[in-house]
Amino acid sequence: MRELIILNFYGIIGLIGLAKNKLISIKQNKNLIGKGVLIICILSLYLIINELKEINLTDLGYLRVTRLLNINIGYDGISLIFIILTLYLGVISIISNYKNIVARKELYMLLLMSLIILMGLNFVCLDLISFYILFEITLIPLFLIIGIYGGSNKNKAAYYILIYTLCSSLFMLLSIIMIYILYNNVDFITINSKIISMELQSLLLIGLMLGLGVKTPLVPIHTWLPTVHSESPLGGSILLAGIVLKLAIYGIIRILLSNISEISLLYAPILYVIGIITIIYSSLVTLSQTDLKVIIAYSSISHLGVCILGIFANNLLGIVGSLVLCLAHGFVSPALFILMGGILYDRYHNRILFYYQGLTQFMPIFAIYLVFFSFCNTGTPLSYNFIGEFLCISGAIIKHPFIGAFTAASVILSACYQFKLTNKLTSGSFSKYLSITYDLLYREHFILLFLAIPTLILGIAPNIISNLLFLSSNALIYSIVI
Amino acid sequence: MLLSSILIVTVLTSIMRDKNEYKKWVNRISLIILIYVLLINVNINNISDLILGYNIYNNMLIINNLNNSMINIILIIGIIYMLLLSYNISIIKEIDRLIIIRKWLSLLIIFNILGLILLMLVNDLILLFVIIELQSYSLYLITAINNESNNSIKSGLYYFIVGSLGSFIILDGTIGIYEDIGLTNLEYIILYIDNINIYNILIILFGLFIKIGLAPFYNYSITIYTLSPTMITNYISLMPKLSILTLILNLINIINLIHNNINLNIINLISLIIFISMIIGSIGGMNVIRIKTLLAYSSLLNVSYMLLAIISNNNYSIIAYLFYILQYSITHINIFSIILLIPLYSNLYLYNSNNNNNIYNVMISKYSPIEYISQLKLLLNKNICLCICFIISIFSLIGIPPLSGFYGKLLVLISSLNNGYIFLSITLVIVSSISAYYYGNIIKELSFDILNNYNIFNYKEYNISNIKILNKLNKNELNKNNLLYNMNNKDGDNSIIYLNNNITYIISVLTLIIILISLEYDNIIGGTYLVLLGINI
Repeated sequence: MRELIILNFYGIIGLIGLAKNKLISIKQNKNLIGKGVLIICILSLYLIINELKEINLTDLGYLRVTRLLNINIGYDGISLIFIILTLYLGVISIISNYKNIVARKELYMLLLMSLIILMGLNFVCLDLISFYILFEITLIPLFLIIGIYGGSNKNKAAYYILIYTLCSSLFMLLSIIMIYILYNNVDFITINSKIISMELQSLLLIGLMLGLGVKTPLVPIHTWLPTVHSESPLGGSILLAGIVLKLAIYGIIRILLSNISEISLLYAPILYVIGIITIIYSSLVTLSQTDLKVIIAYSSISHLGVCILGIFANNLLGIVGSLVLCLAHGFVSPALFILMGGILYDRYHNRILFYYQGLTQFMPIFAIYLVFFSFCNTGTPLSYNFIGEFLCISGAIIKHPFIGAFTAASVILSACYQFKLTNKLTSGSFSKYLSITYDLLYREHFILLFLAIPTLILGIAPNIISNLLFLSSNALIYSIVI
Repeated sequence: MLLSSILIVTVLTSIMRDKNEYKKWVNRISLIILIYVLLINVNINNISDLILGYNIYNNMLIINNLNNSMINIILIIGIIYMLLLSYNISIIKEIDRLIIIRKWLSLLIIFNILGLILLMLVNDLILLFVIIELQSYSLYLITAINNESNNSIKSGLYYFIVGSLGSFIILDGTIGIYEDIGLTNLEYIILYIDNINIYNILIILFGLFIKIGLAPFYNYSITIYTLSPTMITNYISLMPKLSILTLILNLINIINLIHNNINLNIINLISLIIFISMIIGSIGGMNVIRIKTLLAYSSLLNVSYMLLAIISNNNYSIIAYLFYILQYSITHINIFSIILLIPLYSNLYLYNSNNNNNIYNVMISKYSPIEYISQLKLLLNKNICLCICFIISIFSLIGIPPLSGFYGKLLVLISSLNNGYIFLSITLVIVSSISAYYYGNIIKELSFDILNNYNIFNYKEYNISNIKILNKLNKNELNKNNLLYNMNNKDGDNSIIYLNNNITYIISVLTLIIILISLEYDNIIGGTYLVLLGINI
């Protein structure tokens, strides 16, 4: 881990220094910073995949703990999977915005890379305060990316993400401080081995769920997400959908399930009801949306609702299922964002659903990818989403048969909105409002292919990832051993 | 040392000729004096000697660790302020009338710093009144120092009227205590604390609240900070707060010695004031268009955070107070020095007083050239580094980790939750997210237009006029290459005006402190814990 952090740190500093001092002239070598950032990201992806060889699957607890700048860092299986996802999506988001941002591309690339690094660090830190710091620090690059490079409504979106996230996570900070006052220590390992009284736990649950629920997002506090996802530039929305939403799930695993597990079991029915409201409400809202990116954003809300149901199930099926669904959603949702916000928007410069029709005739490869990812998003067998959703729903039904049964509605509803969208885009005669353009470029083809391959391979052989998850998920199950 | 140095500076001021260059020399001498005082203080008073604290001047003053460290902080902030005063801002002397000062400003500032330092050491209520008058009168004079400016005089008079009201409320409280037990020394008052009417101390506190402009009495301070020149606002909106808040901390420690219901009542009253000032500080700044008004509201908000740390009365409260005030004053000075530099990049007609047809001079005053938030747009294309520094400072005020503002807020929350002020902590959370809106507004003006090139387009007239002025100026100062470069450069404008090394050094150091405070956080907390040792709570 240490090499990874040092590589990224020096890489970024070096790039800024080179660009500022004009040691390599930028005019001859266009997009220098973009290339440099891409190289750094790929190198760190290589390093982190190498870590897979180093660890032993049968070791319990946090592995390879080191101390860097007064912070303990280390990881277990869950964290490792999430870091790999982060860097993978990081490479993809950098490539996806490689050409279509013209002005001030250097600043954009640097902000994007810092966002990737900070979110990656979030999965390795081992105490509550630094978790909170890294959870919040992503606000700076996100606010600037959305504010500077966003769409037409960018001011509103930037304010939404700043104020919603800041307000909610300050409530989370209150709970964290409460824990700090009790123990005078915020290390994960120390606080995991102690039990807080039930009254205090219910207070802490309110604060923590406010912070994590806004990021997840759950229904009454989800309104920031569609605006922010639709207005941010492509790389930003890939990272938002792929990783920022998963930070909340990771936070639930690290803080709620392991520290205040009693109360989160006791209040699980309430969280279940909120989750089901999220699924059904957001699916119904999706049906009436007209903006392409907003549709994808709402669909990710409903999928994250399924994740919430799985994570509170208190059995292995549910927890592993929700992690798998997170991972699968992290591949599919960025792909849909690239299809809608990247490829279609670059060519036609609008995001209104009604302008598009019959794209199959002139963009066949695009249509193939669109249909493939739509099927994946609804959870068709052989896709990785199917496995996640299947495990989540079965876990939820085992926990609460009656409430859990409603979860199955998500499959039908997601099929409804997803195929309304796909049908409109692909079938019918070619829309007269559109001009004929070229099909996918090699760059876009490459990105989509590399998002499609893991979805398919892991859908057929999910054990590759699940083996990593089983041991560390086992530790999250609350059971009384006599 | 300060007293004798005042004499020197007085003599110098009277001898000196009235020219900009000579004013700087006087300022530099007073800068040396301040640095010397700081060195002496660091050498004489160290932590292990001051654990018990000793009385000086016949038990009139007491010096302990907390006071000592606050003296150091005040001197350091004073030195940074004096550095801004005493050096040229840019390399071209002719346009260096950016900071318009009177020659006796440095003298007044040294007087004021003497008052501020003595105010924290006060151990006697009579002396409290005397010193607060010393401190306030020099502040009134500093506020009204630019006596050709209407606004400056107005703010000075306003400050004088309200401030003297505050002083007399303090005197009223003193008289009440003297009536009860016939004593004025605080140490003896502590002994007979159960016999006096404790509300008299509350009256003294209310007088101090008027002086720092807390919520029910906040209106005047915002007017003053808006009207007075920017250089003066930089001083008067920060320095008095440093010392008066320390005095309030000492008085509240006395109140906390009483163990009955009256104590609780007083704390409840103060927390009501904190609540009101938090709400006003956050909501008041929402629709503000003037940058200085906005910063005045934000300082109201920050003072109420510090007061929350002060009343919570446990180990963490002093740590939180010291840390918060240190980081807040660093951020404050950083923001104000950048605001002072921005006019360099606007049009230069302002500084060319011979020119009569000042077309741009309608809205903008000579004393505070940057008046509105929208004027900050200038900065983006002219000097991106300053822009980044400004954005970082604003993010620190919002309280986004890992900048210094977050750690201050964390410590305040720890100290208040430790004492069980859950309602006030939740208010703090809500209020700081409301205030994020108006801080975000500044960041929006600063950075969001980076793609539109708004500046180049809109300020082209400015550029042409600036180049003309620069040509008219003394040609020896500018070498021709620079001017040629400037003419060729399309979006070039005042880019020949480089900042002075000194100013850039100050701003970059302050910004780096704000960013990298997370590395030294543990050490800083350890140091403030040492300060705690002598103080018995």
